[in-house]
Amino acid sequence: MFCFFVGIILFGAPVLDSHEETLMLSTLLTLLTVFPLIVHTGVETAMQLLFGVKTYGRDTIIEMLVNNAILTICGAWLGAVVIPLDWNTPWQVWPIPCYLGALGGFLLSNVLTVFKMTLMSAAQKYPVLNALVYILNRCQTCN
Amino acid sequence: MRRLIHQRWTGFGLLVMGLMALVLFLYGFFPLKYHSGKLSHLDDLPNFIDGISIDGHQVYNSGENTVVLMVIDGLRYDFLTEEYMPYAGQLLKNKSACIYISRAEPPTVTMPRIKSPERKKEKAQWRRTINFWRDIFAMMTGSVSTFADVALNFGAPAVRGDSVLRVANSRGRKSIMYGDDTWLRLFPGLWTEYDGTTSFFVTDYTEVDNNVTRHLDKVLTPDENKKPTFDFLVLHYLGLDHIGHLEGARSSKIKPKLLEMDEVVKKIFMAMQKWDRNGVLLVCGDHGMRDAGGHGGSSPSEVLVPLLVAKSSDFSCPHPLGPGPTVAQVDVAPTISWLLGGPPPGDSVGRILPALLPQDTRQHLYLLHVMADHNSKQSLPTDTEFYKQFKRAEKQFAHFLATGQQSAAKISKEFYEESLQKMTEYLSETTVNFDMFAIGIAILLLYLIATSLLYVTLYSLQSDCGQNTNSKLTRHHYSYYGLIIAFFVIFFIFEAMMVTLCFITETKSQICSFSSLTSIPFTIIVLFFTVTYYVIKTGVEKIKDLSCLNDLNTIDYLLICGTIFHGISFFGTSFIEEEHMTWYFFWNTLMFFVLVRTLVIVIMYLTRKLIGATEVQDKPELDRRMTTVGVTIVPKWLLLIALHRYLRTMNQTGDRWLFLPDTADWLNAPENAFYLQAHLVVGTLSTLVACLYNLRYMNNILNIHTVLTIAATASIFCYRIASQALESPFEDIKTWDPVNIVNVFWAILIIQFVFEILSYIGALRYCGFQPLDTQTPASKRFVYNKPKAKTEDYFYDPMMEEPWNVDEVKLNLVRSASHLMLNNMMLIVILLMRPHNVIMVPSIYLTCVLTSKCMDHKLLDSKSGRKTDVVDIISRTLVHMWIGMLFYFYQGNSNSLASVDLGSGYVGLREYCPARVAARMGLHAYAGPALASAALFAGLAAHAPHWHLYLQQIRRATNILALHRVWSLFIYSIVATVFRHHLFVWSVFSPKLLYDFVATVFSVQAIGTIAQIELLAHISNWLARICIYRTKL
Repeated sequence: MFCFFVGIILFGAPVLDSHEETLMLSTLLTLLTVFPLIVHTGVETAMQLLFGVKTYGRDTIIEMLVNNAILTICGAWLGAVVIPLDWNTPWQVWPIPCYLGALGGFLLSNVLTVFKMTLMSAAQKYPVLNALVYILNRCQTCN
Repeated sequence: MRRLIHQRWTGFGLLVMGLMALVLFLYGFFPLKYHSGKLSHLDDLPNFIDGISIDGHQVYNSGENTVVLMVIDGLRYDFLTEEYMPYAGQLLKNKSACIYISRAEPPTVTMPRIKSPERKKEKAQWRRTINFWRDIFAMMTGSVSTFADVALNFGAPAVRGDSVLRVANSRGRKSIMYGDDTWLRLFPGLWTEYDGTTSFFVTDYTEVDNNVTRHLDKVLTPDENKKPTFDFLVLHYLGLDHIGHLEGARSSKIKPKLLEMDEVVKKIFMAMQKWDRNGVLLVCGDHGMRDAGGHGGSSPSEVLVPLLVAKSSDFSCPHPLGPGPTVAQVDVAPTISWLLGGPPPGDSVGRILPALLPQDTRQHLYLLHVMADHNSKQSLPTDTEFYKQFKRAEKQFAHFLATGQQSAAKISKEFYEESLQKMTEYLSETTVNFDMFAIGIAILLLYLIATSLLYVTLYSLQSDCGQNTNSKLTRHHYSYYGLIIAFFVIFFIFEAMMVTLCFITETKSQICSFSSLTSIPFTIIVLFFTVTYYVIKTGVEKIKDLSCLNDLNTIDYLLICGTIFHGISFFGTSFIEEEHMTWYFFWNTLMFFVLVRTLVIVIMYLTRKLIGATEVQDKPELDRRMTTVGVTIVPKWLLLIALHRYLRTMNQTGDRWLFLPDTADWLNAPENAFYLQAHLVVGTLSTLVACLYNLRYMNNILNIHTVLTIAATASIFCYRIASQALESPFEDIKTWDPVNIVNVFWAILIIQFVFEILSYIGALRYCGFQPLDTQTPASKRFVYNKPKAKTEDYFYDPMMEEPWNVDEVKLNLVRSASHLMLNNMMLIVILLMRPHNVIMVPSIYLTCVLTSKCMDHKLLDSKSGRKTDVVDIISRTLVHMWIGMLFYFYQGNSNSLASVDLGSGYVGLREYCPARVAARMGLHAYAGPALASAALFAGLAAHAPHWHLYLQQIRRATNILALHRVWSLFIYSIVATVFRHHLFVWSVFSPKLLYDFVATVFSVQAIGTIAQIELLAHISNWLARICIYRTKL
């Protein structure tokens, strides 16, 4: 969690004030990314998985968790894009867009996994869909 | 035509073409007319109307008048009614005052929120000045201002041309100003009495107005002869605008505020009754406000403002009750000038308000004539209808003067009014309108140049382009004349197309006027079209093998996508104002990516190493990869991230968060002087270390370069001490003249350079002459050993055609010259930088060195054995560009003209010299990009294994740089064209356009320098060869 905290500050969060908000964001990120992985696999394996040292093979759940983690961080990262815009809306303050982005990324990742699972099970019935599954798999190995 | 794309400096040439296209774009975007600054005199008044003499002075005279101009900021048209302002409404009803609808010229800029420390006041002040600039400018000079007026004046917002105040001052009238201090900044030295209020706090809407009103009682009271104490009084009330910004036009505070303003009007009007002469009161808003409160757009509620005219005696409004006729804001200036007994200001394009024109027909007509005559002298075309109308009116007037026929006077009056209206419209239009034809052509040209640069870049990235082209070239030689003919055919086709285009669009643009002067740019444009056509054509034909691009890794994709996105992001105004955010964001991401990649590799390496030595031997390439950087790269990289986080806090930039205090403010506070000096010393010393480190690439004979570098650094310290930035135990240094110190500094740098060149010419001569004397002290001059090895070869094989190691020495020369350039540039920038920013220079160097180590594809990619030089050069060029932009913003620059640091232009100069000041300011502002690209080229030279590869690398790097530059120009010119009516066009888009222009000029300069270095290598080689041949003989 403190890794996240330091990381976020290094990424440009305010240093001297709004510690609480930053801490909340890092807690959220920890909860969404590292925590489920650690619970599922243990600390060392989780770290190895996250840094790409170890591959997850064909374990769908771990694959989902790692994907969750990556997309959550990506979402939080992308969320920061809207902060400098001058729409003057109340939600444009630090760190609400990053919150929303992280949650959105998490959601998207889950939806993708579910989608992929349904497709795969459907593909067993209708072989036409195999091509789609193949494409999805390719995409994920690219990442 | 293959030669065209194969040529090494095609990218450079295309960049120069891009610069010219940008100039064309700027020409279309900023109308060339700017104000002549001509001063007017009473003697300019015409004394003859079509040959009939008339005493201009006597007829023009308006009598003794005292004018009060009351500007209520944000007063929009529907505010000046009986409901809101009962007294003024009463005046309008009984016809003792007239109301007009006056049109303000959009855009006016929104108010910044400023509560900043002293250091940033100037920037904020500038933005605020631009706020009022247009309106005050229009009212006081009588002409519509263009962006050129602002840009040519940056830093010093004073109006240089003629104005009402100048005229009044020259006639000995007393002008008094109470209200916003922008007036004082615009017209310094023209007031006899003033009290400027600084209104940085939008939340304050009572105090700003009380500060104005408190003087009224005193100043309005006439002296014992019932003579008022002034001739011209300006009151500027800001409170209404502030309420509008805070709470909108429907706020409950608006009404009491307007009542307060009404009281002021009543007070002035009552006081005017007591004077012994005519008092004229003009009440107007400078711009309106939206219902939501802001202003700056071009909606009716923002640009339509009321103009109330009241005269103390014998006045009855000639217009019927109701909204009143429409006038322009520029009409205020000639009116006031006339009332004060002065001629209309030199650049004014307006006319006298009809209500104030005298009843006497002769004088009335004469005034109309003066205005029309004045306008017609401002470069009006004489073949237009309104000019003929004016001439007809003049004839009728003369007829009236001669015969006294009332019918002639009536006709003449009608003609004058008609032509005056048309003239004013025309003159305002020509200052505001865009030359859309030029803009369109420029954008098309930029697009073509960008495309052809893309092809040139891709072509140069092809891995095999070095070798097999020579044979093909010779094969193409026979059709040389054919090529020329083909070129001209295409040229004429494009010419014909352009001409047709001119006629189809029916444009009024100057380019299509086909006069002898404009045909030159016309031909050049067509030539550019032809060249780009050929480059694209050959590019499409010749690019076959782009397999090397498959080696791009994630970081490269991030770099490329980031660069493209950066260009596109300009479609949002906030992304222009807060461009630094984009760069910080990308840079953080990049650093994070690199961190993860290196971390993974280091962990892999360490685990393998711990498990057993055998596996390390199994994977030798991993080991080899690690040895170049070492395990310490990870903590180093983390420290670098921390350093960047710190530098980021150094200067707040952009617009929205500008007011936040930053580290520079803290350092500049007097109690923290010690830390500031520590920053200064650490920055300078670490630069010295970096320079000394670079010296190993140079020809450091007898440590002369070391000595010179240290001397240069010492002179920088002396300069800092002499300019009071640094305390020292040596008291007498303080008394030295900073200018002399800087001159010594320049001298040292020049000596270094000359010495370097001479040593190379001598060096080559030496190795041709006494090659075997490796033991003598003289031959130890070379840092490099290779020249000797080669020269020995020469003796073994004396019949070789090129006996000397020419390429080797050339490469060495280029290497040392580019490092020398980097060193000198670092030292110069340190001299120019503000004390707190000096730390940036070594940081740039450090970042460049560390990044190029970490971004190495051999380190990051797990696959080995591939040729990575192509992808390396892409990522390295892009990353250096990013670093440059990053430091550009770290340093506190932004896309607003306010952040230009004028102080740096005068380092070591006694008097103003435009070229030198501009060069200094440019180098200071673009220190980041300049240093980063210098580091890039120095690094390329240092790592190139041999001369041809170096040339190839340089070519690729310059192509990529040029491509990026033209790409961003192209996108940005589209953005600027799309948003040309946007309310931020002055404050955001146009300054950024100017910045882009300067950046392009500088990149042309930078790439030109690289070309010069290469040229230098050839020349010195040639010189040396001459020397050697001579000595051999």
